[in-house]
Amino acid sequence: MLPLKIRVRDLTFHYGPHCAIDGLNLDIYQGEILGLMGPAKSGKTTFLRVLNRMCDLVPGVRLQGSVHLDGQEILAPDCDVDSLRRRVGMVFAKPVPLPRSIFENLAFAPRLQKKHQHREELAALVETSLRAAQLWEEVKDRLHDSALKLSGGQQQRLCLARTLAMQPEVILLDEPTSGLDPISTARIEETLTELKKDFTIILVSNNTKQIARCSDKVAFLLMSRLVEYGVTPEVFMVPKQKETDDYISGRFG
Amino acid sequence: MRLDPYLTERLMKSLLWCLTGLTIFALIFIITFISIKGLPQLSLGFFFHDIEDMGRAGGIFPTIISTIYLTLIALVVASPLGVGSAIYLTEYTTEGWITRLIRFGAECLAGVPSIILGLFGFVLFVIKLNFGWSMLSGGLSLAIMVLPTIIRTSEEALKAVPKEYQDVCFSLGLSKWQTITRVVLPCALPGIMTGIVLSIGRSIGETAVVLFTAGASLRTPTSLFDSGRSMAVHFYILAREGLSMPNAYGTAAILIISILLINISAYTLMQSFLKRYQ
Repeated sequence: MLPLKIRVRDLTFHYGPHCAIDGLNLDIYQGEILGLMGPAKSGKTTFLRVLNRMCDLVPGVRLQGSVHLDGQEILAPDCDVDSLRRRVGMVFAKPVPLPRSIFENLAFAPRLQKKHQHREELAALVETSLRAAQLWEEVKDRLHDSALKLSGGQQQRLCLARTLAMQPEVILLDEPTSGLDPISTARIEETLTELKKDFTIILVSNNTKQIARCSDKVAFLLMSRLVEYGVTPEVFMVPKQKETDDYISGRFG
Repeated sequence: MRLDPYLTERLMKSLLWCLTGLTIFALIFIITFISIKGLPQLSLGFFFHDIEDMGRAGGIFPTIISTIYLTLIALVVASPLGVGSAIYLTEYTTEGWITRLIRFGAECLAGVPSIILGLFGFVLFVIKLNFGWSMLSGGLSLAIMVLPTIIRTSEEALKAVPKEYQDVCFSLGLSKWQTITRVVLPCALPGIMTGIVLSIGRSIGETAVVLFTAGASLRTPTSLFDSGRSMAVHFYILAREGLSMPNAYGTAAILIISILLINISAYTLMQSFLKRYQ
């Protein structure tokens, strides 16, 4: 049995009058990939943004319930949001390299944290992160070129590497391959499978096949509610709920 | 009868070309006119000598110093105020009636005629605060004059920075202030600098505000509380009193050339900054 990393109990989330998550209960274990699938507006992205408190940035939200990370409540008002976000990294749907060099994209946040002061230490961190994201071989000779010159797939792997450079415990991926070609997608998926032994990964995707390929557990959200949760092959072979069956066989979505 | 679209296209294209040409022509005309009249007056002495005989003879050294003084004070005061307000308005508040009121206020300030700003500066700084006709009074009044420009351009520049950059920074555990100083401001800097360079140009060329607040002393100012005349004021007095048209044109030529040089160097600096950052 893998250790429990995140425990979500009765999580309810409102944007003004609109309910985005309705009474969610979910256990997420360390060392595996949880795939989150569901049609648009089902609350997937909102859920990710609760886990690193990025939801705080939107005015007029209401949160109820509890989310524990290693047994510690992260929705508590006194939770240190900045350090939480360093533990729970996020990769966005659109690759957003900052307008700096490849090296700086990875190094600037760890440097601000003051944990890595020395140049050699930083350089080592950058190299390990780029290797883990399978980008090192392609960029090792031009680390000081602008990150904006990379291709879309490379940019997304750069963003993944940037998140890894923060040495997080949990990685949230919000449709990380939605804008990428099949080859880049395959490389990202490969990377994720590589990474899961060291991290807890939550992967949101509109591509059910991707979820089936990559994830160990899968949760299906529909209309702000958790409809089904289970081990991936089981959910895809013998879904317990009719909605899940309809969704993965493409009868709606 | 309908016009042939092809004909309209050609007609409009030439019309727009003429309008653009006219604008450029006005600029070229002014610069050539001032250069032809003013450049022959220039000599090393003109730059480095004191004003003699009310400006009929001698150089314009004191007015150059006054202008630099005034512009520097205006910049040092207005830039932090303006950029700070812009950061507050774009990053630290949500859009509401307060921000709209502040923005409306800044716009009204931009619409105040400079002569009235001069009068205001006179009443507040020269009389009430007892700074007298001085570099300080003039610089502060100029600061009020350029503040709306700096706020407005900085705000636009900050708003143009993609929101995603901030999301990324927050997701990497950066605080708001770190995000602003490390990522948002460097991205917005070219836009902010444009506003500041524009303000330098306006401060150097401003006459009415300075005439009322810095006075028109012929001596070289040595402290914040000295009076002195800027190049623009000197030009105004020379031309208006009919003291010496050649010297007036000489001053005007220096005025225009210095503004041109500042614009060019600011632009070059910006380009090298952009290269380094991207």
